[in-house]
Amino acid sequence: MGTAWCGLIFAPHLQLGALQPAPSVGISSALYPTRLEGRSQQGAEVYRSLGCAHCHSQNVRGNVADLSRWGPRRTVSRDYLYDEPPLPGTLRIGPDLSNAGARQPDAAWHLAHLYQPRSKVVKSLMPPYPFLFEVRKIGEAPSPKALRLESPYAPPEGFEVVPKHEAEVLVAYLLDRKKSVALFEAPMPSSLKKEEAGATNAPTGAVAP
Amino acid sequence: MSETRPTPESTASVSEAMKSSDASCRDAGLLLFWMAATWAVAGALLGLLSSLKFHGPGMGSGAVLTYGRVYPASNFLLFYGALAQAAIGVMLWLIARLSGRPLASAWMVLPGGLSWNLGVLSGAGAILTGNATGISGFEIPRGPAVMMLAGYCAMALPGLLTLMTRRDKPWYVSECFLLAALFWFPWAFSTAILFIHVFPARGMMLVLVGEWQYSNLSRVWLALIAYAVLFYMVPKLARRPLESGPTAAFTFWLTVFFSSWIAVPPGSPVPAWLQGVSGLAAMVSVAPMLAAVTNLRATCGDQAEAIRSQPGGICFLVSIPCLLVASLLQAGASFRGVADVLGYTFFEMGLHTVFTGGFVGLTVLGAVLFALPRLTGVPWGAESMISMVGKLATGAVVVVGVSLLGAGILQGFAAADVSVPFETALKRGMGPFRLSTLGWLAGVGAAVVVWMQITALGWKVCSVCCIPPLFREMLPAGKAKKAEVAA
Amino acid sequence: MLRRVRLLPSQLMKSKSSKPPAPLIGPEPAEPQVGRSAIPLWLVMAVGVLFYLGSMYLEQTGGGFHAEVFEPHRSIKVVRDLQPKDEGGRLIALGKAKYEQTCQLCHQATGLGVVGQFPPLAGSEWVTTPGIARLTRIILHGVSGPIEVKGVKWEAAMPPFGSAFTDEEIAAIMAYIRTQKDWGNSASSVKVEDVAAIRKATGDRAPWTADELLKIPESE
Repeated sequence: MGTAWCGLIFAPHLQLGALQPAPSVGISSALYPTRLEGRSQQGAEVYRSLGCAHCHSQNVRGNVADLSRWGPRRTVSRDYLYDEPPLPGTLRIGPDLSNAGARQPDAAWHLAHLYQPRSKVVKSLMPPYPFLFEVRKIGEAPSPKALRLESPYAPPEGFEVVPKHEAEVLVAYLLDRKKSVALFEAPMPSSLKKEEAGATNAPTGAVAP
Repeated sequence: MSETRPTPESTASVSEAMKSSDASCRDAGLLLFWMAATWAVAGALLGLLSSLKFHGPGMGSGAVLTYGRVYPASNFLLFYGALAQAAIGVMLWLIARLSGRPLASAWMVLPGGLSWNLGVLSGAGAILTGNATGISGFEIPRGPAVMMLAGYCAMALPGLLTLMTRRDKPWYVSECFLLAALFWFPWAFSTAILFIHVFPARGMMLVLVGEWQYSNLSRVWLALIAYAVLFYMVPKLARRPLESGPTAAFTFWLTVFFSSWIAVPPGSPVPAWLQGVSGLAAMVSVAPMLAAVTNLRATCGDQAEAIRSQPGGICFLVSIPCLLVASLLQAGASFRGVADVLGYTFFEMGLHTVFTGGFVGLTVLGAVLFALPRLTGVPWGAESMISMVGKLATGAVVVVGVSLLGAGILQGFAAADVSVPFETALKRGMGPFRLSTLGWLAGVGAAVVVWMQITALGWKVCSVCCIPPLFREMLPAGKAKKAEVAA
Repeated sequence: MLRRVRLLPSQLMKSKSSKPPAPLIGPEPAEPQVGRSAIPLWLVMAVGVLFYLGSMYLEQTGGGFHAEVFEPHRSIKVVRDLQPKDEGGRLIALGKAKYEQTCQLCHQATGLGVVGQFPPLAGSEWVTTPGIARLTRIILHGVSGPIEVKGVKWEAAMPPFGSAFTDEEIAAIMAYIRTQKDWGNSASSVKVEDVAAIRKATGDRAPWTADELLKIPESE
């Protein structure tokens, strides 16, 4: 009993327990990582409470496939220092989200995708989250936050879909997902071979961002 | 065939001791097994729902029923509510039997069970309302976790006291397994509560503690109990001695030393040595598994039919191959190259199903089906139903396990090929995955039938002494008896 | 009936045991005995072999138990060797990684784009301008509307990436695509401060059109 506790709890704690943000190996002298700002932290709570980690991983491994698809470098312990709790996930039924903010920086895309994933990805397996949104009658003028949806997902005539606070902070959290600052323990990988580097994650039939 | 024929007096005294130890576990067994069956139904239904969601993601809208909550809730209820609870009941029953004396302070199991089940209920509620910790393997908040730990301690203390005051007779191998198992759960669980809730660790340490705890509970604690049951039931039902005691001890020591290190999923964002160590442990853990499988196989000999003919006996026969397959696949999947392909796919889910559901789950189910009539002195209502439970449960585990493993393999190879778009790679695994829904259906069926059987049996027992005479007369059975007496 | 009601469980058991056992509990098989056969030799050898193989695996992949060695690196020496050597090289290495992660999805690893969909960067006059004014603005705010690249007319629809990347990352990407000899680009590298200055000067705005961009001198 005690040996495994020492080996897998105590020893890693000696190595990881006192981990601090580190200067990036790149150009910036700012420390990485930084604490999530308010809205992103709230979004992290929404992410955790909806159990997104059960379909989406947030961990780029060191193999060619992961680096090509979700790169640019593998994620390391320091990346999760200020994630409370870290959500590296256990299953990848949807894309890895470690760098979601870099891959898809358009908030409107994320909101529409949360409302009805099939409006953005053909035959998506992701369940819709309509309870994060409000379908309401258009007032004097359409709300600037209203989602732009095409039929058959658009609301009926005279109605608009507006994100609730949870949806907005969740998207802020997703846009903040960028684990790509070069660190000592995670240097940017050397060039992938040209043919391997042609990885595509663009879903078939999707509208190009 | 037994090599030594027990003398008539010793048979009688053993039989008497066995009956009294069984009778002492009656209340504990009824409570734990009935609650376990209830949670099994709930967990299986939620599991079916989460499997169905892949057929049509829009199914079941609303925050409570979203996949990200239903799936961990189902896992939690099946693992802690059903499997762990039934395992505790089986552990206590076996300890009492093998100690040759009634369960000491058996009354403690009732408040312990109450605390445990309250913890499970509030834990599942917390997950469904979005208060899960997000740490896989330890999703529940502090309150339910502490309730469960306190409940366990109250339930395990009778077992410990019984072992400490056991009759003066040679130790049977299963007793060593059970003694270790008594301590393993609180050790792992309390460490998790300490480092996740009380003194929260930073960053990846939280995830590591959660994984370590879950791995220890399923691969060591539950495995020890399952081994104990198999080493007792297989020789007993086959009416042959256990082939080799030293080999069983070999299984014990190697499981205890090495299986507790298989905690780190390959590819995790932790220093590489942690995965190397887990890989080493997974490889060496193949040895105790092989030892147990060959031991049991030799013990069973040509008596497989005798075992299968017992109600629920098929569970034992299927759980041993599940152990074999799961251990070998676990060792194989720990290698970096293999894990790069099969990691983060349904393969890991399938592996978990085969090991925890197949090896441990089926063994514990078989033990429950064997033990409950003996604890209560009341036979099962219908043998055909019990055979059906056995068949449905084994069918469920095999179908879900194999289809998830297959889905994972297809998905993994497709995702490893960078020219395949991710969505397409994902869809490659969907064919076999959809098959697993049928397995879940069978699982729900097994859970419902076993719940009905346990309820019927429990009713027969409880209605004798728990219902006051006044009310008994109002029941149809009471009225019939009254008419009988009057006639 | 009243007598039966007061039966305790143990008495219940006794009364049942005096009758023939109920059919479904059946006669209890004898308690199991334990055989004394020794542990098979092959098992002991198997442990040895498995431990040996496992230890070799740990040695190869464990990185010497170093806290900063992560998969797939083999040792701390490998990690040290992979650190970029010089300032300019560091910027281009960062840019390459960022390009491969994001820009490549449309403009392709070869920088040739996709015919009819995404314009090329290789040999593109928009990339290799002496100054970085136009290119920085394209990346920060995107381009829309008709644009001519290498004599071919395109209908641009590039989204803005100003919020997706920091100033260093944009400078890095530009440094990478401007100096890519494989693509036939050999323009000058880029300074982070210049990108920051342009971002500050232009603020937030809608995607540029080709006409607006052409108004800015090439040398800026």
